[in-house]
Amino acid sequence: MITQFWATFRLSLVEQKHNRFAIALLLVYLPAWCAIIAALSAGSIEFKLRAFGVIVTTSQLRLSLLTGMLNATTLIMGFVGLNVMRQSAPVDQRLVLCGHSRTALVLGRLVALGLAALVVAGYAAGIVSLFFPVRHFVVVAAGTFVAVAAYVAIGTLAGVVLPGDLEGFFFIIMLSLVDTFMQNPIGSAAANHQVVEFFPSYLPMQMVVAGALTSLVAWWQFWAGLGWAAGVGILGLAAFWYRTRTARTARADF
Amino acid sequence: MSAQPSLVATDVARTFGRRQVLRAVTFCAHPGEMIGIVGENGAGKTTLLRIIAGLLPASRGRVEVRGPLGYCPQEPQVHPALTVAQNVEWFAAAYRMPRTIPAGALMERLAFEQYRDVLVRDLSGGTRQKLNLVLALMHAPAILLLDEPYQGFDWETYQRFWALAEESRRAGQTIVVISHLFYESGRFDRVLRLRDGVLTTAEDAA
Repeated sequence: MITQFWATFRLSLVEQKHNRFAIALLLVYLPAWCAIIAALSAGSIEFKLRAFGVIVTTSQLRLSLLTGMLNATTLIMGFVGLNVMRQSAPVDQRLVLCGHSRTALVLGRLVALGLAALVVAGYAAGIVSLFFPVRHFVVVAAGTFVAVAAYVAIGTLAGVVLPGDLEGFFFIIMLSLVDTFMQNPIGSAAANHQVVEFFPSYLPMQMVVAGALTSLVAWWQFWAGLGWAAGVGILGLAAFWYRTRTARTARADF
Repeated sequence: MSAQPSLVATDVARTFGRRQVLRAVTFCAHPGEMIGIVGENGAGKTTLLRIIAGLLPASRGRVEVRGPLGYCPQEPQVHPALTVAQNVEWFAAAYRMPRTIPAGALMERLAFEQYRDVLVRDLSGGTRQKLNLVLALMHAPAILLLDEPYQGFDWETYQRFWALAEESRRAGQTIVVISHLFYESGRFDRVLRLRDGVLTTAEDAA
């Protein structure tokens, strides 16, 4: 099983390395998006950081960069999770049929996606840091990781549950747009409404904004956000587990 | 041919919703025997093979197999974002066998070893199908289930495939091939004909 886990982990990473579209989006779209925001944003804004109950005054540029970065990374990594599930489910079922441990398959894929989320979070936090000095880089990276992990989990679940690629893409786009847009006090009157606390990226967003703009750090948000991602991820993995089942138990080997 | 069957399907039935795709299919296959399953589109051939392979549960009935299975699906089921060698490596891990040595010989036989380091998504349909076949054969299974395994093959590869199948039969493997090509009937020891989910004829072709 350990050999199968390592094979899954290593080859899942190789698969992600060959996802040229996602890599191009990360390398080109994310910095370009941040540059556009930096070029177009002006003025300052005062808003309430809900999770801490404090009023923060900052430039619209900084807040837009943070929400834009989260929006882009969650979209891209949601697609990565979706793509992994859509492309691999039939082959993974064949692997299980050939004797591959399903546990090793699920764990290997999970760890590979987690590592990819970690790398992307560090990279995205680094890109934002190029535009303004964030107060706590590690907190921003950790918050981004939680948001990305949540969307990888959502993409994974969508990839297994929804019937086609198009449905999955639309679901992730709409969810990420609503999620990050509604929380952004620039242009969203609903940002101070309690309902945003139930959104997938609420805690990571609070963590990222607090870490970048203030000296406030609350690691419980990291763990609670990770718990949220894990909850959705478990649903996705359970669906993946179900999709890769074989009928071997119903057969008799004599 | 051994007297003891390596594959026994008894009273196998399968429904999808209200549609009955297979009805009380019963047959057996022995080591060293090559069986062809023929029938029109939608007759239930692929469903039967998927049930035997263990990918699909039967609604009723029983499948018994002796020894490891190799299953080659009709559509290539391979990881498109990995190379040929990486796909082989992953399946070798699934079969718990040392990496690529037996698969390397098979790739040479089917003349596509030069694509070892090419991503599957960049391969032609025929070469993907060769990989699809190698992944089913590489662990030398006792029972081979092949669902139209030569789709997209050129004539030369098609001949190589049958030479390989003949060798496997002589080595004692049980081979079940789904085919809709009438002129292939002579290659099989027996031909089973499926019509509307019913195994209507079982004739000696050899």
